Amino acid sequence: MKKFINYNLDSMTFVFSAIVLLNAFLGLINGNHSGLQNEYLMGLAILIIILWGVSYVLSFVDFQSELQLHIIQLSVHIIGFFLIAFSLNLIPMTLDSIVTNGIIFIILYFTLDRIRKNKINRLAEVINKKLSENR
Amino acid sequence: MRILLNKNNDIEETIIEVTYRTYDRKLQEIVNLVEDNSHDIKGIHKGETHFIKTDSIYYIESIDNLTFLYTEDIVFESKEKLYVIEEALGKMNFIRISKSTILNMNYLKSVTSISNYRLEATLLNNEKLIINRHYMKNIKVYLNL
Repeated sequence: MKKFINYNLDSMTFVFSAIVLLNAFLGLINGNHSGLQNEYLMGLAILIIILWGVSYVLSFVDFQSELQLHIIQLSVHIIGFFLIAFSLNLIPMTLDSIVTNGIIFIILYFTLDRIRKNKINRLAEVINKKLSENR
Repeated sequence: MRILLNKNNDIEETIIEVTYRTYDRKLQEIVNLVEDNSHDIKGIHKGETHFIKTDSIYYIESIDNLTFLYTEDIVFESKEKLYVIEEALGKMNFIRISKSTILNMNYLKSVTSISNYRLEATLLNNEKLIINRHYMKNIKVYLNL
């Protein structure tokens, strides 16, 4: 299970985002954006796009330490997530919802962080191997 | 890699023909050597202007709108902007590794992963440079990964 998550979580989140965005886009061009389900889909699409934008902007910041990176990145993401999710009525504004979604968000954040670190470690190994072959 | 040398008194000019399976870094170096792609970049050190062979430059860095050329033991200042030098270097062994740095891949010894999803490059003279995550694809392309 751990291995499965490590290898697939990032592609699963990407596929989920792509499906949501595609369906929202199709709903939009078909003029089919009213109705509870479509509004929810639109809301999710807006959430995904904004959080992607935030991630992209943050990726250009050179943080002094890993701790600083996580504090700023996680805070910005989680605050952004709740602000957008509440204003678009994606989740109910209750303590239960905040705690549950917050915990899920934090777990996903650190799992994805670990996956990315593993990927970079593997890339470093491959680069070093190639460099030693070329010498 | 094998080298076959054939003497032929009937030809006027030496022909170098390379049969390869993959166009890799070593082959690029051979092509550079034959075509003499290396050229000089003007650099200033202690008020004197020098012409530095690109082969001897470890990396080029831009700091506060000034451009510096780092060789093994001397740092030269260049009047050119980083992007101008990058364009002039064209298909040589130099690749952009961050917004402000261009690295000569011939001097890259190894890399290690560091915080913030970045890589730290160790050069042959043991200097260390940061490879920004947005520029990792350049390394991958260069090394055919």
